Amino acid sequence: MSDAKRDDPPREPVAVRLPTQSQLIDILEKYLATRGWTAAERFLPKDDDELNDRLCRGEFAAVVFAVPEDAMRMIWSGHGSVGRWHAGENAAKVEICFASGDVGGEVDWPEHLRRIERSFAEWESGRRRRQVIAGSILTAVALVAMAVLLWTRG
Amino acid sequence: MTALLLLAMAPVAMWLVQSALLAANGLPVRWRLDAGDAPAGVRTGGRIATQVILLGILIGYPLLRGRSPVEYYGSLLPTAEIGDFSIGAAAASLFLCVLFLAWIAADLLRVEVHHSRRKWIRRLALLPATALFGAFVEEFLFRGVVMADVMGSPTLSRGGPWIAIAVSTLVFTGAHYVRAVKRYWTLFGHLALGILLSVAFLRTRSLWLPAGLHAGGILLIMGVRPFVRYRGPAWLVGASIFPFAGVAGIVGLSIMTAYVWTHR
Repeated sequence: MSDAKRDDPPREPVAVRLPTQSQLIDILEKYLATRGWTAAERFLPKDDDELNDRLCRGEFAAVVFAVPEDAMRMIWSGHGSVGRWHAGENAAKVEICFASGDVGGEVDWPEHLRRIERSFAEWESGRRRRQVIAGSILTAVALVAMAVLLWTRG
Repeated sequence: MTALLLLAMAPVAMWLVQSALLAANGLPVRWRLDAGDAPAGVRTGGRIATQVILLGILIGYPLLRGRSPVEYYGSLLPTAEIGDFSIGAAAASLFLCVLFLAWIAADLLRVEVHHSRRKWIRRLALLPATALFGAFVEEFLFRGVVMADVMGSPTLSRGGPWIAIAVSTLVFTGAHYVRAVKRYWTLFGHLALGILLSVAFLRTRSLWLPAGLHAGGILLIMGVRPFVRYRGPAWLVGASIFPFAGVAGIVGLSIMTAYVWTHR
């Protein structure tokens, strides 16, 4: 392999963001098989930041989500720079696909808004739960540290 | 001066090893110590060489001074002062917990697991050993060898303790940037941390307090790392493994330095 090729990795055509809910994997895999994208690169939800960076860099021609809620989750957590993937003058022009069948066709805005609201509420509740757990652990560590300081200095 | 000469040879030796490993892999020599994108063999070989070189300095310095390493480092860790280790570890932990709690509350730090379960469990299991090893190796080197050498030098010690603090801090900071790193703005955080650790050694004449501060810091920073993402601004909260490098961290380190200076 030449140096030029090593510096310029081949553009992988499709990225797949694996679903947050495991029961959606079958739907996703069926969709990928239909499109002939079974060899597409998979990304776990924990790697949303990496997927976002690579989509922004234009390394993929398309990105597939099981359901729109997974794409929304990326946006809520700050890793979904959709404008840079898809639209705008300097965007990477990435095709955004959803495996679930209930997307597309005529836009049902009230239904869309309900889905967005539900998705945000779920994400927000998860975020608060993680914050409470982290805050409790850090508070416990801080109290232990304070006790050590008082006990040792006293 | 012996310590400074020994330490100045370390990057040269590391570069020679890196060049030899690159050449063995058919790759061109690099002027910088930078094996980030090199094959795994070059990276691992470089890491092993670094540890061996540091170990060589730690063992070689007391031997060059005509003392056994065990006796030399033992004299810097008096049993009577062992309580300083827990004080240092507790102070560093408390300081970082306060920072992390404030940033989580302000949504400047978001709680998100970004490693696989297996990876973060392995990291947490190894964390106490990592923290102790990292803290003691660095304290032996930068305070036990470099700073003690300057303090014992008739020429350099004439300028008062400031010279020893400055030299130890600069060497400590420089050592973290010898290899190519992602961020250079963290330099001021390393300077503030270097001053705190040097003052802790100067005021106690033992390595327990700086080692405790250092170990507590590593424990908290590396323990929290797999579970959080920094949302910035970096100048305020730091980033990645450098929460002490933002303005809030540097102010906190300065307060701790002032406390150690006036109360020890």
